Amino acid sequence: MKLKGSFWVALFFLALGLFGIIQSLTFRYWESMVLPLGISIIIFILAAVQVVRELRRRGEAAAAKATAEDSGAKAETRRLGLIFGWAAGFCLAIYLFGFYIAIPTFAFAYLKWRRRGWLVAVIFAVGLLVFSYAVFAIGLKVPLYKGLIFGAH
Amino acid sequence: MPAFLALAMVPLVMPIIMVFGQPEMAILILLGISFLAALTGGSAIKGIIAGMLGLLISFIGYHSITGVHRFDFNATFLYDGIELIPIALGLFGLSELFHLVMRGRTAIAPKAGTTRLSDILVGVKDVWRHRWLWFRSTVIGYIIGIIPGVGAEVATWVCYGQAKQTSKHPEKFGTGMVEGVIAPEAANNAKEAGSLLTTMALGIPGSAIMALFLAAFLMVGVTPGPRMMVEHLPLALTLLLGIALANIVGGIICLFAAPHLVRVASVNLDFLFPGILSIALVGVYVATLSPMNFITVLIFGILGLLMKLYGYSRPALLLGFVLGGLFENYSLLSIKIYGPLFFARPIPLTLLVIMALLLSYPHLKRGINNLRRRFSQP
Repeated sequence: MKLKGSFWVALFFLALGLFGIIQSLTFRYWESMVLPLGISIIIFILAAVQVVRELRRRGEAAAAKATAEDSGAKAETRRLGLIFGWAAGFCLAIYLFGFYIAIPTFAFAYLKWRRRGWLVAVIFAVGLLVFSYAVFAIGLKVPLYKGLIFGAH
Repeated sequence: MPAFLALAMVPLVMPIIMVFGQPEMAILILLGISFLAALTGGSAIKGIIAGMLGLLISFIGYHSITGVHRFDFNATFLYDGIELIPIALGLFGLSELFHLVMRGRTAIAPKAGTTRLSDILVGVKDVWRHRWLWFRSTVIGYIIGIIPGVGAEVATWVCYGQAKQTSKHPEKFGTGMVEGVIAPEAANNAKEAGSLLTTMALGIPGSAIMALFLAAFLMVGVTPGPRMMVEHLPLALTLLLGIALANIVGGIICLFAAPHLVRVASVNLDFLFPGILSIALVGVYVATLSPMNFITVLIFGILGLLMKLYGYSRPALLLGFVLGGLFENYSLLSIKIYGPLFFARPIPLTLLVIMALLLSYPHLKRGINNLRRRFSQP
C-alpha cells in the first residue's frame, strides 16, 4: 500500500516532537525546560493524531486506481527535486565563491539547462548581477559576500 | 475611512486592555496563535502543530534567563537564535517560488498583462457608481479586521456575499459583475486598519502581514500590547493615520503602474526562478550579514512548500515564532508570581474557554448537524 506525502509530513512533525521532548529533558534548569518540553509534548500528541488520521485515509487512497493525475504528480515531484538541487547548489556556490561569481554562473547555467540561447543567457546573467550590485552594494551600501575562497566580505 | 474608525476606537479599547497582566498576556498569545491556526490552515490540528512549531523554533539559542543553550547543536550561528527575515522569506517567498516552478506555470497566463489606462479609469467610475456598496463593505471589512486571526478571506467573502444579496442582479455574480470586485476589495483594504488596531492594542496580529508588522515593532524595541497604547500612543496614532495615507498613495501608484506591474506575473519561470532566488538570497545576506542564513532560508523554503501543499498554516508558524520570546517571558513571570496554575483567573480562563470553543467549533457544528438530522428524520 502506497503512503501519501501528507502521511510523511505528519510523521516528520511526530519525529520533531519526539526530538523536542528528548532534547528538552537535557536542559539543566526548569525555567529553560518547562516550555520547550510542554510544547514538544503538544506537537508530539497532535502529530500522532494526524499520523493516525493519515493511516486511516490510506485505505481509501489505495482503493482508488492510478490515474493520469498520479503521473502528473510524479512529474511535479521530479521537477521539485531538481529545483531543490539547483537552489541548494546555488547556496553552496555563494558560500564558497561569493555573490559576484555565483549569481552570473547560476543564472547562466540554469538558463542553458532550460535550453535558452547563449546570448539571452549571458545578457540575463550579467543583468542580474548588475541589478543586485546596483540595488544592494551601491544603493544600500552593503558590500556583497565574497565567499569562503575569495575572502569573507 | 477605516483608519479614522480605528482612531475613534482607541478610547473605547483602552480601559479593557489596561486590566491585562502577565497571565492574561500569556494566554492571549496562545489565543492569537489558535485563531490563526484554526482559520488559516487545513485543519485545527495541523494549524496548532504549526503554531507550536513556531514557538519551539523561537526557543532555539541561548536562554537569556538561565544561560542554557537550547536546540542549537553547538553551532555558533544558532547561539542567538534564528532571525526573522530568513524564516519569513523562506516560508512565504521561496515556498511560493518553488510551488510555481513545481506546477510549471506562471502566476497568470502570458497574455493577461494587456491592461490600458482607460480600462482603469472605467474601474474608478464604477467605484463611484457603487459608492454605497463600497461604504458598506469598508465598514464590514473594518469590523472583521478587528477580530484577531479572521483575516482577509473571511472579510472578502462576507462582503462578496452581502454585495450579491443586495444586488439587483444576483444571478449575474460570477460572470464578471463589477460589484463582486468592489465589495471584496474595499473589505480587503479596510480590514488592515482594524487588524492593525488589534495588533497594537492586544499584540495579536490578524494576518501574516500583521505578524511581520508585529515583528518589526519588536525589532525597534516597541512591544505591542496594552503597554504600547499607553507608552507609545503617538506612534500608534501615527501608524493608523499612516494606513489612511498608504491607501491613498497606494491607490494613486496603482492607477498608473498597474498596467506595467501586472506583466511581472506573466514573466517566464525560466527567468523568474534564478531572478527571484538571487535577489532573495542577496536580501537575506544584506539583512543578516551571515552567509549561514542561506541554509535557514532554504530549509524554511522547503518546509513552507510542504506546509502549503499539505494544509499546515504558515502564518501560525510565523506568529508562534514572532511571539515565542514574549510568551516565554510572560509565562515564566506568571509561574513565578502566581504559581503553576496562573491561568486560573477570570480573564485567562475566559480566554481559554474561547480558545477551546474555537478549536472544537468544526466538531461541535458537525455534532449539532448530526443531531438535527437524526431528530428531523421521521
